[in-house]
Amino acid sequence: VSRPREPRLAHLLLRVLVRGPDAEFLLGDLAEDFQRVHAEWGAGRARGWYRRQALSTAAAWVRGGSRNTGDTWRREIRLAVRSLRKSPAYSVTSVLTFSVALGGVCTVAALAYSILRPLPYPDSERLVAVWETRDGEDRWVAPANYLDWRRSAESFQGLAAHDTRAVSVTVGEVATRDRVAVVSGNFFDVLGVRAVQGRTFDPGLDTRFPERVAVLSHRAWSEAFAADPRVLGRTFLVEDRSYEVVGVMPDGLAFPDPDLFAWLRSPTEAPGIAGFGGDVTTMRDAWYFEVVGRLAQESDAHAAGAEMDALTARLAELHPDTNRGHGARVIPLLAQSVAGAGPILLGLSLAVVIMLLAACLNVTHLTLARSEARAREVAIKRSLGATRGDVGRQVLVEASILSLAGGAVGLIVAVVALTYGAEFLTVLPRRAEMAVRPGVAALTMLLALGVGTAVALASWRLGFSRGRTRLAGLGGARGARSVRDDLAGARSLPGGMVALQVAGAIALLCVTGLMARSVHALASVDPGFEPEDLLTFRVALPDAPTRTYAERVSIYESVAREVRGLPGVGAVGVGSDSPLATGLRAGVFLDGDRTVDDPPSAGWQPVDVGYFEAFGMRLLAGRAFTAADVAGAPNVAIANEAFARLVGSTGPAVGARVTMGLDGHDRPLTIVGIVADTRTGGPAAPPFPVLYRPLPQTDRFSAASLLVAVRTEGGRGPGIAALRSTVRSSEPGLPLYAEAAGHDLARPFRRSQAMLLATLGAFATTNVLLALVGVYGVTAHEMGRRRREIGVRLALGAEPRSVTAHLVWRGVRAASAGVPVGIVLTLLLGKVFGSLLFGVAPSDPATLVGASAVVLATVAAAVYLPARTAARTDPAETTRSG
Amino acid sequence: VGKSLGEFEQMILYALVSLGDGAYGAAVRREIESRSGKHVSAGAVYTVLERLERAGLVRSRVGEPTAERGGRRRKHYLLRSDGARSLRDARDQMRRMGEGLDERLARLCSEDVR
Repeated sequence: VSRPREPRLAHLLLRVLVRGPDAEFLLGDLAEDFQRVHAEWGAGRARGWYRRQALSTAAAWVRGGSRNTGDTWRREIRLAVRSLRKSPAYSVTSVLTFSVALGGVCTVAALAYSILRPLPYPDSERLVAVWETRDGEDRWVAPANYLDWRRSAESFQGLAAHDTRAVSVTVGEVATRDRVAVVSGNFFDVLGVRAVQGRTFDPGLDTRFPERVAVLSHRAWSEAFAADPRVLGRTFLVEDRSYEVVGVMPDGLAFPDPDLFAWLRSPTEAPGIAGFGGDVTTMRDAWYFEVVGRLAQESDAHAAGAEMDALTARLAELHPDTNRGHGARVIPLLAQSVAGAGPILLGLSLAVVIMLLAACLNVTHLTLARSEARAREVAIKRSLGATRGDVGRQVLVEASILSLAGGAVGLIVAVVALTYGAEFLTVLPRRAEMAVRPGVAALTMLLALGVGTAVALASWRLGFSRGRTRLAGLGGARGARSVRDDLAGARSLPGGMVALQVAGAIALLCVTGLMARSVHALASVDPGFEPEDLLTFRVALPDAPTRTYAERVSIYESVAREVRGLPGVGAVGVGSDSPLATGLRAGVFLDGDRTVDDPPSAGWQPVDVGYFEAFGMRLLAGRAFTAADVAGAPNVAIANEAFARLVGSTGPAVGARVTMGLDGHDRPLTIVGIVADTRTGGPAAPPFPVLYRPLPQTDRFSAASLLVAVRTEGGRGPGIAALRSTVRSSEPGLPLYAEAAGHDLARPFRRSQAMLLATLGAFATTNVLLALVGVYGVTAHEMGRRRREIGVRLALGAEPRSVTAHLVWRGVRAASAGVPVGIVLTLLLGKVFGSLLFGVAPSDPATLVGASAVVLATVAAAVYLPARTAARTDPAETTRSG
Repeated sequence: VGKSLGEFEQMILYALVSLGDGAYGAAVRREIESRSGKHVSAGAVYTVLERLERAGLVRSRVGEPTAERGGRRRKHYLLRSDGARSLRDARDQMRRMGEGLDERLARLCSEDVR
């Protein structure tokens, strides 16, 4: 009866790790005990027992620090470093390969952790966002509803309102455009954030018309207020109103938006409508701000959602005109903040896992190729009494040194990538918080160690352990037997691994190709206006509310006139926003019929007479605005095609009369023209209906800031400096900001998609390079093994060229097994990235074929070099020596 | 040794007392497991035995290889008189600490249950 065998991997672990004078006795003890336990409890429990013993023994042995361990390991490491320094090409390539892959893993892990870790507020898991819903779709919250929620909902410790706005800020003499959040008094209490200087706001409800107070962001304090230590009590202007600084927030507070200038205490508990002076506290039909809540101790998001459902149902009964069909949705703030990041993180994770696998395979191949060169060294060691464990240990130490070095470089790569790259990944949330945190760094190094061990085990089992066969060859008996051994070895090579690597390279290249085609398709979408030779900027009137509407309009008109006078300027237009914006949204009533229950929603924008010409928008029917469309003249409007379709169901659009909610309640407008649609919904969505109205007739519009569009004549137009000085000279104190070229406006999504493309492209290129290195390593290894076979072929009269061709063909054929796997991987990745693709399907045949061809061509190139070298060697030499 | 013995060291010395001549790594490990009911790793036994040997508390001799052990040899351990004295001192020390405290300890234990 033969002895039962110990579990192989556990046994291997023990033999590699346990060494020193007592190793023999310890291993003997475990062998003896294993037999006993086996006889007593049976094979299953004995194997489990042995594995546990192996782990705890290995741990005790490594930790022990006795003469059995410390010294020998130190010697081992010294030996490994010396050996690695002797083959710098192998070492450097391996470290670089590891560092690229581990750097990628670390970067993506750091991104994921930075995004998914708890928000930086106390008990942040109790923070929720609360949205109004209409027919199940999220929308902002109306002031009167919000106040009812606050009074009645018991699931919350607090509900705070916040509304972020772009405003003119004047500190001392300097006026700039910046963003502020107008918040309810309890905002900071709900978040649980304290000021680093001064105080936050008084959380009391129903305190009407309190003093105007503000809490500065750290950025505003350190820049606009020059880090003044006595900043409390100083004042600044928002538009024309003076606010007193009562506190300064810590650096990094990024709620509701990163990089705010300040938080302003709303004069009423619900923030007012920008540019609307009236009381909003009874309004239920204007939805414009957001609500953040802190759940009560005994509540959770689910219970709060149920209470809000009941509450909103009651409000719908009380106020059927405005609240019918309205509900509320409670969602954890973290989930809301990171929504949309999921598919990108998943896709990037898949990409780096593919990269890491490729890197492991590569280094294994390289190590195997090197093992060929070291066969003699290993054989001599074995003949001098080194055990298989001794050789294995050396392989392990060498691989771990390489992988840990790779991990360290990878950490640096990740830190650099996040420091300089994160802000460009505009598709990801929480960009300001991106960092490689200690946990992620530790995990990366642990992974490096694991990867090194895996590579060592793989190459040890595939290569070095054949030392005994080699020893026979070394003795001088070379003949049919050792050639057959070599051939057997060549066949047992991990051909499947090459195919796998090829598959990974194809998949990443395909996804990159698809993204590239999406970016191209996005770029070629007609935005509905002419982005060539177009320049836009905004100007703001910090003192707008102190002037009459006619005064405000005349200031903008004079700015436009001055700019038009500059050399190289064609048309100049002024409007509330670019043609890609929908403007202010409101319900549309046809023919003045205000009885409709649920009017369709549309946007409207005030524009001047030059707007359409400056943007190059095509007039399809009717007329453009003229100088006669002034205040007091008949109220007119120009519709885009989508709006015309809205009206068209009841008759021709030109000449139709409509009224719009909020501003246009009592003011019927006659549609006098139709312009071509612009891509208001983004490149992929259908355009939104928009109505354009003459600037002089929209006197309920605040006109605190407007967009100026300048069409230049073929690159001869003025620079932004000239425009700035012109605007200053026509009206001193006007801030000019948000300068943009027409192309920037035209492609709102291109930048983020392009950054993702660049990231993926870097991954894909790296992966193809990795595949190149990997295939080269495998081929070099295989050629080493097959030298004698090739020598025999050459000696029998084969042409070197045909031998090379045969070898290249074999390599490509082996690699092409990876093509179908790569295509399946691509389709899987396509599911993840599908939402980011535009105008191209994940299964696009041209991309799949192209990427496969590129990768196979790369493989052919990688095989060609070692194959040619092998076919050129002297057959006499190769058949003689080992 | 100037230092007093640790708990695991004492357990190993007790095992050597109990096993007498037949003591070697695996036997020590089994003895500790069966007497204390604690799981012990072979590696830990060997690192401690080596430390005790260096401190002069135990001595060892190498036996013959056996097939049961995959052709490996055994290392037998014997308690030296220094080791026996250290163990006795440690045991006395603990006993003195506990003297006359049994009843009170039992009471404290039952209080906790209530």
